[in-house]
Amino acid sequence: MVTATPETVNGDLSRSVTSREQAKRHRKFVIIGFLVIPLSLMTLFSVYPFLQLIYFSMTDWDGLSPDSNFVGLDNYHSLLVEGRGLLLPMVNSLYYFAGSLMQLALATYFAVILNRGMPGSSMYRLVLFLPFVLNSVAVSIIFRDFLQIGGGIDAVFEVLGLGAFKQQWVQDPDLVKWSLVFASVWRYMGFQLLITYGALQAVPTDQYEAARIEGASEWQQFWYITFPSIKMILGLQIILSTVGSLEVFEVPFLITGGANGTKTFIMAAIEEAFNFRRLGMASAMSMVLIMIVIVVITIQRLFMNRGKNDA
Amino acid sequence: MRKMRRLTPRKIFWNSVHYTVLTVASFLVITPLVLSFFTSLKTPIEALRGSKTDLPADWFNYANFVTYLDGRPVGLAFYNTLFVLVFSLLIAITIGTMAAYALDRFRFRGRGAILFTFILLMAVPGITTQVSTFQVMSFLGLVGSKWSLILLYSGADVVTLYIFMQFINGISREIDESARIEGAGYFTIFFKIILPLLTPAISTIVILRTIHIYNDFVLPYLYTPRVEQSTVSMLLYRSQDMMSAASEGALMAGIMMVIVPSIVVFLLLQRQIVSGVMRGAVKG
Repeated sequence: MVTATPETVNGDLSRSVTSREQAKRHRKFVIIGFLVIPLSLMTLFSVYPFLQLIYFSMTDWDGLSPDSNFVGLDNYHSLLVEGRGLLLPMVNSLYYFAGSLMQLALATYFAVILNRGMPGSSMYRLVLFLPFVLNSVAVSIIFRDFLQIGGGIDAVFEVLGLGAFKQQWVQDPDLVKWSLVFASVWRYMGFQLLITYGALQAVPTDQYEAARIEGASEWQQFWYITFPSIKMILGLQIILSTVGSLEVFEVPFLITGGANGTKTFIMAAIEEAFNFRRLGMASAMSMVLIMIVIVVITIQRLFMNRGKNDA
Repeated sequence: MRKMRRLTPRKIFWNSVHYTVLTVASFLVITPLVLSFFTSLKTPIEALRGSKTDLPADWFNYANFVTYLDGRPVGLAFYNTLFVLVFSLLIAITIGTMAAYALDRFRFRGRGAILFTFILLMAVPGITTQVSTFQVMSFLGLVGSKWSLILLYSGADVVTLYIFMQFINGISREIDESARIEGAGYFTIFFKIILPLLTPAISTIVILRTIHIYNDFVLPYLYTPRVEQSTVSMLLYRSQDMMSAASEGALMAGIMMVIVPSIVVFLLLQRQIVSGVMRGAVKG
């Protein structure tokens, strides 16, 4: 039997203490080493600009000159209270919101029927998703060409014998908004379809088998099996649609350039900043949008959590 | 494939409804693209006189493509786009996986604050802060440089980081622990164990980011508006002056040069792309 002398005990202890300290130092080194670059970039290009935006929104800076004055909440006041018409483009978001709900309904419908594995499903899925991988400027020019007077859509109507339905798709101020919504749905529906489809794939097929043996109809299968399993993702998509319809920029900017009352709020903000050189006001507009988005997301979080507790 | 069950008249009716809707939708998706393709093969006179739905007289009339290539810096735009794409992906994947590993596997002071900031940043739409991000870039003297795009595509993208974190979270910690018992250090664990297991995550990010970067318009429009740094998006944006019957064919030829590579890659890698997008969407 070996009895440890006090010396050896102390020796072991101090060695393990130093090695533990070493491990600790090593751990710290790894954490810092792995995080320093990503976090600096994130700070420089996301966090700092965000904080700066808050400050800019309370100045009258033009974005160029060295001096700017702190004006407090003046920008917000003239934006929200005096109503200088800058909020007006916000109304256009309603069209895109309506469009995105239609898009969600369509995408869900397609996802559900394609998930049944009917012959040719993967072909259809591929075609419907295709627009999402295409260049946005290319798509917009194609649509400008397609929707113009004597453009592709009218030509197709002519061929189908529907010549009477020809419209001024982009010139008619009532119609143009829906034309743009169509272009937007055209582009993003397939992506949404894939998201929902992905969620449906996670539902075990034997549930459907069992339901079928019990004699459940397709509609009952949808209502009692499919719908509950995609409820969460649909809720999330409604929020994303709400947020998305507030920040529409590319489609109207590239197709109509904002003419004919199609300017969106983001377009107005970008214009304020880069064309009219009113960076302070543009920042205030951005902040208003961010507030709305945060409120929407918070409401959704509360709803979703309550839903979870109920279940 | 599931077996066909007895086809009741009701079922036949609904199936034909589904197929009709699917076919109409696919027709709507394809028509604008096909008509533009037709236009790219038409001579100016054909385009002026005929209807959009008329087939081109000569299916091998590539004159419009030559015109576009002669008049516009197509090669340069592809070079710039590829440059931005490759560096953005390399940086995003390197720093994204490392940061995700550190944030998921270690508990340290400040971690909660970092994660909270990420959630907040994800809620703030990127386009709204461009007004002031632009000032940072211009302070750094990077406006007008391709590096401004690379830094924003790789460094300011919280969603990529979040997707990596979700994937790392799905890798069992027991693997790390058993490696540590065998004496592996954190670096070895990260490079030899975690990184190889992240291959599906990396391919998801490569797919999602490539689609985004190749097609994005907003950032090139704001940061690299000059011809020397223009990406394919800006090449086309600058070609909009060709929207007249006389030069429309050439414009559509330019558009075909940009979108046909996407379509070809998409058809070749359809399975990987579809499952990659679905994985990314479910995790993100």
